[in-house]
Amino acid sequence: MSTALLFGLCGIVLFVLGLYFALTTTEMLRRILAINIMGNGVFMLLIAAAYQHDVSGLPNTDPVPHALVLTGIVVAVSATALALKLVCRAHELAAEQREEGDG
Amino acid sequence: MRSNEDNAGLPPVARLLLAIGMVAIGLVLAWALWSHSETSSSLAAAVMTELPRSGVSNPVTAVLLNFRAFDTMLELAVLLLVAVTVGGLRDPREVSAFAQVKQAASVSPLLQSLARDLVPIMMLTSGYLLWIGAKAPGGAFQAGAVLAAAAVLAHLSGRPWLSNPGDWRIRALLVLGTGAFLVSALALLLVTGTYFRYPPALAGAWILIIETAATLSIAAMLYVTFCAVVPMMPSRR
Repeated sequence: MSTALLFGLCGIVLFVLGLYFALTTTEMLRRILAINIMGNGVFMLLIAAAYQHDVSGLPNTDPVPHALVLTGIVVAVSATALALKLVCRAHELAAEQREEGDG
Repeated sequence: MRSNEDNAGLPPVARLLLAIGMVAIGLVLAWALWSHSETSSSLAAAVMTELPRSGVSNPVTAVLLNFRAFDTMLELAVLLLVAVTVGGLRDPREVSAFAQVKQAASVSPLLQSLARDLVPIMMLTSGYLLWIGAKAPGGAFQAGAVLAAAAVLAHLSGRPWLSNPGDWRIRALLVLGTGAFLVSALALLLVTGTYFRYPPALAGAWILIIETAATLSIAAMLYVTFCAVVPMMPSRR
């Protein structure tokens, strides 16, 4: 089993674990984390798939998936930030509504 | 919080079925990866053939800023969208994170001296990463992330780089990355008749300019979102 295959399989395991927890958990923060783990599994799989050997046995890495993953990481970070901000805002609004209900 | 009750959201049977389904998906994916590892489908050869005309010698940078520049422009547009949305979600009544830091004069002296020593080094590192991206791993995203970390460190040590999130300068920085891409695309349309087809002689300088704009834009976006979700400690008094 080659190293790239091992990393690819680890990526698949991360993806499946993340998917399971994203579907089963009901807390938003955990769901955001689970989706991040899913995304990291996909990135790992892509990078592992990019690592290939050509006929002569020399490493011949495909730069296109690397560029895709780099783009993906930035988009994932910003999407996570947006999701966190939305969760913060939802908590604030829920707290305000509770205060109004009490008062 | 009702999290304890909610955690039992799904009945155990459904969870078990879901787990079995997940294992099945994992096995199918693993089988797909296994069978793919025999066949070789790679764009490496195509990239390497075109690399001398791209203006940089790092293939990843060439793909990001030249061959697939449209993707990167859309990515910067996503960053801009996130920054705008996060800004729109700000509660107008809350004391802004920028203003709070000034009240919090109780920042530890250790943190202050750490920030004083580290922030210039981080800015240098960011510039180095941006420059080296043309020939080695590095580039706008790494440089932008390091620059944003420097900004966050300066912010946490009580010396925010900008005192007001609505400042026109930070808005200009946010737009800079996408704007540089759009302007360059339109200029190239006028000059060469095609979007994003850089003339090979000028491609290196062109990519460096766009990458600098992208670095500043990425750093500004990460800093703005950090300020939006930073815990509001002083206002809880």
